[in-house]
Amino acid sequence: MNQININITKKSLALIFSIVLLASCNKIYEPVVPAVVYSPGDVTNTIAKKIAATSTYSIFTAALNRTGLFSVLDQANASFTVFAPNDAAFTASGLSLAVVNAMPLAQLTAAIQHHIIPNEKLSAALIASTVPNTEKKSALNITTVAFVASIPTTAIPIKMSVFPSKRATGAWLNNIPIAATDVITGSNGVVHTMAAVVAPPTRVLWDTLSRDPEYAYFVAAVQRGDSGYIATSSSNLQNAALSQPFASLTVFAPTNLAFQTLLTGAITQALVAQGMPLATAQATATALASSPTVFSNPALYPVLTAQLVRGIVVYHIMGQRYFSVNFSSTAANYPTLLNGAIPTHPGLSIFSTLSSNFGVALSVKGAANATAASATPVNNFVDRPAVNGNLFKINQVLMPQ
Amino acid sequence: MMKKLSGLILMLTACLLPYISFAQSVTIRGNVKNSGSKESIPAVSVSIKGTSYGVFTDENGDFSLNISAFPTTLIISSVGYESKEVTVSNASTFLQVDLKVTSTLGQEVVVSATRVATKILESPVSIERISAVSIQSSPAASYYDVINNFKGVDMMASSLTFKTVTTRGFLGSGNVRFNQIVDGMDNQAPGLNFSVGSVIGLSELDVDNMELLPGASSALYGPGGMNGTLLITSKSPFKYQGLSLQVKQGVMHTDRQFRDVSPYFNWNIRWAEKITDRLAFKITAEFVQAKDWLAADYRNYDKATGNLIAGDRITNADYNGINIYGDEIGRDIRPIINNFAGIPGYAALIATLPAKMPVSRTGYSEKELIDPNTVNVKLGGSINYKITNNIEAILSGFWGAGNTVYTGSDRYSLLDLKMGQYKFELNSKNWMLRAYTTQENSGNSYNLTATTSYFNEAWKPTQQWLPEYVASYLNSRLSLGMNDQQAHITARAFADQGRPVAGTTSFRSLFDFIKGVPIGKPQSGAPLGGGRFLDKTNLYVAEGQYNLTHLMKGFAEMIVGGNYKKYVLNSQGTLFADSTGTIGINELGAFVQIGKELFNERVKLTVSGRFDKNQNFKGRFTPRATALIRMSKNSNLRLSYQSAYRFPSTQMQWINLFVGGDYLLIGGHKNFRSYYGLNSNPVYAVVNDVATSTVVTVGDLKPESVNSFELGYKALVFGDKLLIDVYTYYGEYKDFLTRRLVMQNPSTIKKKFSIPLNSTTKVKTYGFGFSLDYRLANNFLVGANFSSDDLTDVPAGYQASFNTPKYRTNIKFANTGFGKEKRFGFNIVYRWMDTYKFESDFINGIVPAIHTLDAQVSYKIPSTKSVFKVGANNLLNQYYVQGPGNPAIGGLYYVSFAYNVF
Repeated sequence: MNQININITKKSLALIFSIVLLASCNKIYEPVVPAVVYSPGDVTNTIAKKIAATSTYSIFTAALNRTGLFSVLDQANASFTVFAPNDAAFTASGLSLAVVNAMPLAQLTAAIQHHIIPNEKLSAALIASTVPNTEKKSALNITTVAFVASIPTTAIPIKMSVFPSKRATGAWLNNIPIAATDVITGSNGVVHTMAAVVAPPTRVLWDTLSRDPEYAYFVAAVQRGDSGYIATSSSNLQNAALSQPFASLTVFAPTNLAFQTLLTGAITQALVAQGMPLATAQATATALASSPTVFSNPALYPVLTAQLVRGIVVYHIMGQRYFSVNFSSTAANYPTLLNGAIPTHPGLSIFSTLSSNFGVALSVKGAANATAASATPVNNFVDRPAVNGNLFKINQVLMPQ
Repeated sequence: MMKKLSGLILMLTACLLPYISFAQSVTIRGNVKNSGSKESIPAVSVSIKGTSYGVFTDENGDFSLNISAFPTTLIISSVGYESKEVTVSNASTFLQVDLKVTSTLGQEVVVSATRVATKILESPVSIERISAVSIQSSPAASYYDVINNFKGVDMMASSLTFKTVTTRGFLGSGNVRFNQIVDGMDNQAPGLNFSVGSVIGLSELDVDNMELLPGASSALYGPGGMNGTLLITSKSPFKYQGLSLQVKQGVMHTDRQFRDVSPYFNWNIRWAEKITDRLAFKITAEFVQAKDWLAADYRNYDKATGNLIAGDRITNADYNGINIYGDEIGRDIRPIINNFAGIPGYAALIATLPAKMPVSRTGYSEKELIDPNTVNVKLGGSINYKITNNIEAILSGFWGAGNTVYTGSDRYSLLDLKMGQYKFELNSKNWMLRAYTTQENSGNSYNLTATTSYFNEAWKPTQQWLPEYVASYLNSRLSLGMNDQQAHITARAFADQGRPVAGTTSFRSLFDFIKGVPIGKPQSGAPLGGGRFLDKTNLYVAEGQYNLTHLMKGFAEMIVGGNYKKYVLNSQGTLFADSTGTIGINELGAFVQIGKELFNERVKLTVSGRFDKNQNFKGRFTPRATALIRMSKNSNLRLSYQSAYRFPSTQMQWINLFVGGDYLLIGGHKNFRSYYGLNSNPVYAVVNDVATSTVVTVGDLKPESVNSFELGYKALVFGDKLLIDVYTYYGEYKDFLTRRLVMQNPSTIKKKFSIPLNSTTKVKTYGFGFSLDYRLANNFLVGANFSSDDLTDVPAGYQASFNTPKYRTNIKFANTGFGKEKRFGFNIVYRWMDTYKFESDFINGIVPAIHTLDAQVSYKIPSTKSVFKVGANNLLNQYYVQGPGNPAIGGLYYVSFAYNVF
């Protein structure tokens, strides 16, 4: 009997053992936490870290740290193109480390954001070399907001446009040369070195023009040309183009003197044709043209018709944004808004002159002008960037015919 | 209705009282002991030979019996012991009877196979039986789990206390193809449509036996038993007397994988007294409390198809985790994004985005929402009165309440669910009359998906959340340069600003508010309503049975019976289309069964037929024929043909409920067709949430039916030590009740419905099983069973929800007494089930193979009638899951103390 017991015990142990082996392999679902696949990406090779590790970017790095933009550029699951001025560029633009550290934070943040294109890794090979320029949106918000019908409560900020461009002779962001392209390629973007700081514009074209008394005649001419088009009309140049922050234009604004010269001549000619003696006509014309109100003088309406004035004004505006660096170095024709009405019109003949890849001179000639006008530089450079376009101050009124 | 019922009972009792006779008699006393161990044996039948009059021994093995004449012969018998006849000649001697233990293999008596008591070896259909003794020796923590050890049985655990059992396929929580009958009462919750056996039923100490009939059985037990019927019978207070109690203290989550280590409480008490030879009563109570198994399946799935898909909350903005709720609500954000195209700088990005960008709300996990704490209280009792020696009146009631979690077409938290079953029964040798009612009250139960979705709407409406999400997404991409995934994560964090953090007071108060708001009943603070259902559906049944055999003059056995059922649907519009008042459903049924012995009792034929009529459906006849061929004394071959069917459940008939994905779940009653104009304004079939051009014609629902053939063999061999049972079956299902998604006005308002219909597909099931139980020397017992179920002829793309492993096995090794004075016992059960495909209204997926090992060791102290037990369910703590969305079930370890448990 004992023998049987032992046998049974042995057998039962063997059975239990084999059962234990079998039972130790249940499978259940994975995962056991709701989300496990999250990967922050390649965080060690972000452009933020690489910029910080580059000694010639010390001022830019300081600015990134001060503005908190370092953490944005340190986000690995993102993409950026950064046009980073190096220390030499900051200094050349008059911005030492001390100045940068002393700048109001909002102003510094805006300036740095203006050098960043989010959501794109725009290496040199990807920068377009064709005209018109490719418009990109920088990280900088302009003060205007938009509203979306489906989200009436949420204001959507509008981004400041920037224009990277490339030619055989170099590459630019807006009018500022890129000193070296593809300096850094990180896990989340690409960095180019700028030759100077690309200061963000703060005003729209109309604001710039109307604040500067030097353009009083041009402003008056625009308003005369807009007569007949109500403010909300899409043909109203002042409101639908020059004041419109979404617009992107190039404006050649003649000085007051240029208008006075043109108008005096034109009115004199008209008075003489009516039989007025030349001297009297000259004196009368000079008096009439001495003020921008010449465009709103009803007596002159038959001469300065709205259509005529508008025709001249639109000949001074290009529908795309060109910087001096984007024009040909030898005279070439470029269309203006006038081509909207007269498609076959030859447009303007323009060429620019660069020095160290900065635009230092620009020549522009209207089809009916005897000579070319030249752009007046400011701080050695001819470009006057605005939020919604680029402005050149020129010394002649451009005549289409 | 309760008042009416009790009135009826009083009247019946009053009528019968005058017939009670009080004969002159003397009382004899005695005691029954086990001849080997000298322990007294309770619940032994002591009856006067030649009469039906008898008593049972009490908890001390004592009995007293009134005898009117001497000498008289007493028959003393009990399952597991050899019967003994004792002749008594005077009343003065104290009668000491010793009974000898005998093998019980195949000797148990079953009732449910033919509605008359039959030896299990001679049952004409497959049947399994488990007695109170087997429950006591099983390692299972709850008696209900013991059913899982029968061959061919599958049991799905939606939670610790919510178990659903089936045989021959079609497993799923709330199985409507398997009847469960407790003391003659159908215990399917009449409104919620799941059987509540494991939640609200008998207390463990009150279970006399469980009998399981696998396969079609509605010919005997009425519509519903398509796949099988489980009958649980409670202990009579005449037979089992005295105070019994059992305390089980356990521990769960020992590895802290899903929850912290937590205790398990299972306390049982039963008190029964025989006041006189004619009057007895019992009171039972059970209390279970535990931190439930946690459903933590966070895989992603497609709500439209129920299929698992790749991705998680990080990688997929439209992530919809299985046990994460609230994330079922999602929308395509692309149309909103398109509105941004006019803003300078946006068009270029928008052009690169995909055509569809679905985004789901952020959900909450089941753990965060309910942290399921299972509480289960069962109360029961009965008063039994023997009107004559042959007629017993029983007034009994079972009431249960508890918190548990249930998996249906969604996960439901059953909170303060209450259900009571109350019965009055008159039982005679030849006839039975019974009236009972099931009173259901869903308490504070709520749908997790609906509640959490409305909770999200309450703290931030999706109409506001989505635009915030979109604005942040676009800003993250355009201003912050983020890639798509990072922008989605950032946008979610932005839109989720103000999201109540799970566990905080603000979360709790809002969630508790929404879960208390009834479904479809908007109120201030809950503009879309909440997740609570207010189900108080009741069932009233009257039934009777008469055994005419004694009138047949030995020609044949004959039983007739009939029943009347009335459902009263009452959900106040939160579940059924009953917002204007309760809905009644009446059902009538009758059956007849004739049995005849042929060829010198070598063959017994039984033929039965049953007719049922539901007011919403055509009448239905189901036949059954069985044959038992006695090949030798303990070796029988059985053959049967059975048909079964079920009427569409009360929900299939009358449900009217919005579920995730904007679908309105409707019933099949013809009123729905006209109300929603389903045929006048045609509905179109939907595939992957998109309407097709196929018009679906909605017709009348028919009952679902199955025809089944079975061949079996049962024998006791090797000196009555080995019990063999083998079966094979074939079944053909038709008019499968299923659901289909349709869309009305797909081009305009897109009204979506889930409509019930009968599938025209006929599917066939077949399978086999065998079991071997071998009684070794020294009380060792070894047993093994193996079974298989399979489904064929399933057309491609058809969702049959068979949900059954092709193969499964149980291996048991036990000893009922060893060591010093044979006081020790042990039991080891190993169970394996094959991998299978799980399909349901909620989710589809593959269930990997499951292995479990249960074991217990017990020690009894006869002098104090106590038993100590140490046991484990899932001893190796190998978590397993019985279907996607269901909890991971781990090890439960317990020690128990039982006093006076028979």
